[in-house]
Amino acid sequence: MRFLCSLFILNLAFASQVWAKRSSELVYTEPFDLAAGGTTLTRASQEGIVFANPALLPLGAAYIRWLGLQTGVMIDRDLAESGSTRIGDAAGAGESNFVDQLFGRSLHFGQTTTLSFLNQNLAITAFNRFEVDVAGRRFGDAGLPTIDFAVEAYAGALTSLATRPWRWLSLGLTAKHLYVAEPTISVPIADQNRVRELVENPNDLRDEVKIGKGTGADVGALFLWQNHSLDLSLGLKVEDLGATKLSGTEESIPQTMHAGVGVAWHGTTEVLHLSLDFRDVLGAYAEEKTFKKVYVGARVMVRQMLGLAVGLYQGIPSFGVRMDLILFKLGVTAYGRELGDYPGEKQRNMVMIYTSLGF
Amino acid sequence: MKSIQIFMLASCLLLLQGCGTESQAKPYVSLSADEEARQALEAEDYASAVKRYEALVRAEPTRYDRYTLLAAAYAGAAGFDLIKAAQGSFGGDGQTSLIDQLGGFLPQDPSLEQIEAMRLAKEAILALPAEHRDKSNTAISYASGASLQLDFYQAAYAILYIKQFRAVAADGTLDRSRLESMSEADAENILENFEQIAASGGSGVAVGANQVLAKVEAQEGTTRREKLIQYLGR
Repeated sequence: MRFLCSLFILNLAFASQVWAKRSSELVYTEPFDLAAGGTTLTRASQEGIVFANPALLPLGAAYIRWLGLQTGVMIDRDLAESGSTRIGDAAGAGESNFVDQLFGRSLHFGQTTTLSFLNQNLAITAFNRFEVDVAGRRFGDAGLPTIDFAVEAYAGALTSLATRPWRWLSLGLTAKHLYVAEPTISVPIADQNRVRELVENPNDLRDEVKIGKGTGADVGALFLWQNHSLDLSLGLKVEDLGATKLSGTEESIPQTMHAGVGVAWHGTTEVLHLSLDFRDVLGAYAEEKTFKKVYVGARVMVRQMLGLAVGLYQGIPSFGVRMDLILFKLGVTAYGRELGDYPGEKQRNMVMIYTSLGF
Repeated sequence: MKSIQIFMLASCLLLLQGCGTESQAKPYVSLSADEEARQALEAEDYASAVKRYEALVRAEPTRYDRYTLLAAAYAGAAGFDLIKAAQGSFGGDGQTSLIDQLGGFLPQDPSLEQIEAMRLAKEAILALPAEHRDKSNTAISYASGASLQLDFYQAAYAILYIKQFRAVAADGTLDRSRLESMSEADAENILENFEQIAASGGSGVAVGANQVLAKVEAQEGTTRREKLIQYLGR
C-alpha cells in the first residue's frame, strides 16, 4: 500500500487535466444508501440526509436525531474476495509486474468520513471522501498503453435547515462549502521521455493539480401521502442552485435537478421502502447517458436493528447489511460504479465496510 | 403485510443473486459510433475496430484524434503486442539488435495480411498533419503519443517485412535461398523505413534503428541489398 501511495503522490505532479465534477453522482452517498442502489431522494440514512435531500430532516421526530461519526473504507471487490494477500502482492510487486497486473485488473480504494449533528429542523455535517482508481488502458487516448491514475477527492461542511409546513409537504435548504478535485493522470508506458521531462521539470506542472473550492446551495422538497400502512412520496431536489463556482479552477459544478419516487409499506415493526431516483432530469451533464442517472433500491429495517438493502446503482447490482446497536452501527455494502461512459467500460465492483459511533 | 415484505425482499435478493456484478443497463444503452469502435478495440476485436474506425475517419477526415486509434487497431490486427513492446528497452545495450528485440513482440511467420495491416498502421499515423505527430507539440494531447506510435509501427513494419525473407529452415538453419529472394525494392523499402525512424531523432526505437543502419552499412557488398542480406544472414 505504501508503494501505491508513493506512486500516487509522485504522479499527482503529472496531472494533465482537472475537472470540477464529472458526473451527476452525489459528492457523498451514505454506505447503506449505496446498498439501496444509491436512492436518496425519498429515504436516506441519517448520516447522509444533508447530501441526499434536506427535506427529509423533518421526518425524524427527535430533538437530537443523530450526533456522531461515521467512517468507511472501500476496496475493489475482486481484491477483497481474494484476500488481503493479493493487495499486498499488487502493492509490493516490482514496477514492471505492477504495470502488467494493471492491464488485467484495476485497483480502486478509498475512504469516507462524516461527522454530523441532526435534528428535525437543523443539520450540520463535515465530511470527506477520497477515492483512487489505478488502471491500465491497453489503448489510451493516443492509442498507446497508459496507466491512468484517477482521483475523486471531496471535503466540506454543510448546514441544512428544514421545515414541514403541512403534513404533505416538507422543505429543506442546504448551504455548503466544498473542496473538490478530480484529476486524472494518464502516463503512457512507452513515453519514457515525457515522463523523464516531467520529473526533471516538476515546476512546470506543479500548479496543474488544483483543488477547487466553492460555496453553494441545494433546495429540496418532499411530497408525502400517508395512511396507516402505506406511504407514497415524491422527492425533488435542485442541487448547486445557480451552479457552484469553484475558485482555484475555471470549473463550476452545474445546477442539476433530481426527482425520485418512493413507496413504503408499514408492518408491525418493519418498514419496507422501495424507491426510484432519476438524477439530472434536465441534462446538465449533457454527455452522461441515462443509465448513469437511474437509481433503484429497496430497504428494510428488521426489528430496528438489522438493515437490509438491495438495489441497482447505475444498473449495477448493490446490496448491503447494517447492524444498528445502541451507540454503534456496523455495516457492509457491496456495490458497483461505472466510471466510464457506457456499461462495462470502466465498471468498478466495490465492497465497503463502515462503522458509526453516536446516538 | 409482513409476508408481503418478506416475499418482496426475498425476490430482490434472488434477483440480485442472479445478477452478480454484471451491469443490468447493457441491453438498454445504445452506443455512439465512437464508443462501438472503442469497445471493439478494447475487446481486441481488431477486424471490427478497423472497420468502424475506417468508417469514422472517412466520415470526418479532420477528426485527427481517431487516427491514432485506427492505427492501434491495424497494429493489433498485425499481431503487434504493444503493451509488451512499449515496456521494452530498444537500442540501449548495443548487443541485441532492434530487429531481434522488437521482433519478439511480432508474429514469427507473418502473413501478407499482417504485413499489410502493419503498413496501414504506420500510414494512418503518417496521414496526420505533421504537427499532430510532433513529439514536442504539447498543445495537442495525442501528438507526442502519435510520434511514438509512428516509431513503433514503422519499425514493426520493417521487421515484419524482413521476416518474410528471414525464415528458419527445417534443419534449424537460416533459409539462405529465401533471404536471397529479397529484391532491390524490398531492401530499399526496409532501409527507408529504418532511415525515417532514425531521422525522427528520438531515443529508444530511433537509436535502435540507427544502430541497425550503421551495422548494415558496415557489411561487405556493393549494393544496399547485398549489405542488408549480409547483415540479416549473420
